[in-house]
Amino acid sequence: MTEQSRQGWTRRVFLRGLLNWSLLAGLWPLAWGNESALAFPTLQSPPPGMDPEEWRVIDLVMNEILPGTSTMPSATRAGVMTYLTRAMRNQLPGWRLVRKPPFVRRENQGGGYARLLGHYRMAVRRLNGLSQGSFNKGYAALSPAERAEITRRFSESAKTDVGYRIEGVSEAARASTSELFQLLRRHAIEGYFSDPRHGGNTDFEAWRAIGHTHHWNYQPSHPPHS
Amino acid sequence: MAEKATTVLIVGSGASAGPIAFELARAGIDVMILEKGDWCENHPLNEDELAQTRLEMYRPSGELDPTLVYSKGELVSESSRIGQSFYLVGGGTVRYAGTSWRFRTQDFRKLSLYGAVPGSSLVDWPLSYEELEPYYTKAELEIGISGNVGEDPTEPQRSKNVLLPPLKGDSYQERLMKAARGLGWHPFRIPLALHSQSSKRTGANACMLCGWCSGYPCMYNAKSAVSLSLYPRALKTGKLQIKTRAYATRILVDARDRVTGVEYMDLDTNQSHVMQCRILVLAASAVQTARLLLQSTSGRFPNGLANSSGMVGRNLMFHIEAKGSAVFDDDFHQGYYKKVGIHDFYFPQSGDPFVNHRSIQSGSKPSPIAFASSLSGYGEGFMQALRKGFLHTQELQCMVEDLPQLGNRVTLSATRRDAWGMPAPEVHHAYHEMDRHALESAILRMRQLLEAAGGREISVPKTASTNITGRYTWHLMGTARMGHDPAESVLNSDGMAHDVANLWVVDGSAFPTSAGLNPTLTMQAFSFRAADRLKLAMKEGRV
Repeated sequence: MTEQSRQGWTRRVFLRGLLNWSLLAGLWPLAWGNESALAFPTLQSPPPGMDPEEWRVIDLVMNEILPGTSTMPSATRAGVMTYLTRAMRNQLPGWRLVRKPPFVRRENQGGGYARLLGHYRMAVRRLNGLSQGSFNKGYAALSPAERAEITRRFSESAKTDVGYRIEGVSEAARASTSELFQLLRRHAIEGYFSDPRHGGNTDFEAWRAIGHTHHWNYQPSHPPHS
Repeated sequence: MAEKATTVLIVGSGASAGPIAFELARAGIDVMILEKGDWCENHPLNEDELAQTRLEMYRPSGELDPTLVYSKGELVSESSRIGQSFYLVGGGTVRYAGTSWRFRTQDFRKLSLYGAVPGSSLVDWPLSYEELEPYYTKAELEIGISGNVGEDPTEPQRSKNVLLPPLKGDSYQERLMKAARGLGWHPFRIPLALHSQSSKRTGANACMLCGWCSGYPCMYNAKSAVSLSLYPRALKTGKLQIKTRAYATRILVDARDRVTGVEYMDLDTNQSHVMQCRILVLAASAVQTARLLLQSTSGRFPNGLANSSGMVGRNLMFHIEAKGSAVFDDDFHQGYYKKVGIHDFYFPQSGDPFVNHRSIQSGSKPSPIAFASSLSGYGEGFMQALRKGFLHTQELQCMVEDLPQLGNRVTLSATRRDAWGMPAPEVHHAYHEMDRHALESAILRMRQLLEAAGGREISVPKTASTNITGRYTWHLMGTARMGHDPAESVLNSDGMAHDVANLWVVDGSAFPTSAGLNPTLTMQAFSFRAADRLKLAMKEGRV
């Protein structure tokens, strides 16, 4: 074995060991049966303006909207939070390429939903408010059954909206709870079913689960034109 | 700052700009197109559902370039993109599904057939199907339309069949056609602006049947967008120039009220320029054409250029549409959008409380985000519905004529301006009662066909949706209607403005009625005819 190949081998062993330890460290939360805390390689971090506790609430409600089943990945597993991490930073690919000025303002050249940060924070506050009102604890601290109940009320609250008012949030403050739920649901679907280039639909798993083959997998009866 | 003049200046580069630019350039006439958008990039995101339908590549910002929408007097949208479909060379033809019908002979004579309708400004066209027929043939040949002759029971006569063969069908098409025949109906394959085979004439490739047509640029150069079928050949003549990112803001006239040019803004520099011209052609779609005319006031035309009749902006028409879906036992993969048409009920039946013409057309299975968004709910039940339904769900669509009404119109906002300081357009619209009855009737037929085809969990609207919401941005017509009487119309049957001899309009603004069919091919035929009429007028010194 040459010196060069020995160094390469040593480097590969080191990197593999590092990867293994990283995976093991990430797997620890499984001991608590909490898949949403699983540290996937692309770890999501809250966007500027939200703290980790608020982001955790978003993670949890996304998994209420799109829970894992025996045949379908959960929101977290499908990379919805990775998608949102990019979307809330206006870092979705492609937007910058084509939304050239003057079609959008220069300060909003990135693609995504950073402008909806206030709505996300309002949604968190409404969820926490409903949770505190019913169970004397925040949304993240609820048991699965309690969380299901609060999410149900959150999704239906257009009829029984208690009208939370939070100072300092303008447009978001006018949004009904039902509208906020629909916004989160809309973005959950986008993260789940968009092309993986946007951060979600990890490994195309969501598409495979529903049988979507996209155009580059031709129907057998229609072979590509030569 | 004045620039070099051109002979014919065209504002807009979409469906109806292509034919006239093509014809005039090939006749050796200098033509310049001002297009607010840009050429469509050949980009991987062109087939990306999120990018095209949610992030809306190629569409303007509704905040910076808004259209305000009023439905029955109530503001329903402050930032709609009605009338500003796509900022692209080729306009909507780059991303449309390609449905390309000839209007029926009866569509040109609604008033004569049905009589006056209270509340509607229903009129006959000042030209007949027979006068337009040769230009339908020309459009089908030069643009590239695939389909079959003799299947549609309402199809008008044609002098020549120049259609490319119909596209290959799939199992959904077969299922629908069998079900329709079982009901005693006469289904047919819809003519489409998709090349079923490659064409040396247009330079297009054969369609790959990938199914990503409606709402997406074609990745395979098989869709007959005018930017593919017409502009390359026209550009080769050396007589056509297309100036992109050029926003026309005002039409300039001289003391004799003849057009002398157009003031436009260069969107890269935000500088204003003037392009002088001998003849101006507007092809910017019914909202933007009306807007430009209304903005261009002068001594003789205080209410907008060529508007002595007061009709500029009025009689705005869309179509009313409804979608239905059902779940089937078969697996369906993505297919091109419009496969099967039903026209057994195109014309009103005896006793129907409406005079609207209606079309039933197959849709296609929705793509993942659209499908998931169409379902309600969340949680485990929702996930099961996604998995169970995606491969098995298909759609139908019905399209209903929107009767013209004087009060349905485009105006200029007194308070809201776009990012470049120009008054934002306002759209005011309310459907006629007959429109609603016609749509409800069509919805019943849709349900009948879905049931006959074996569909389960059929979902159709319970009632006709009340009014526009600001999301419907296509099939815009009527705002500079043509007619014989200058007191009640803006244009003559050639597309020339009654009031201004060197001003022509060739887009859907010119249409007096909307038919129950997608209007693109008719706009293109009208544009080809206008080109012939304009060449004659130039030759005779009338312009």
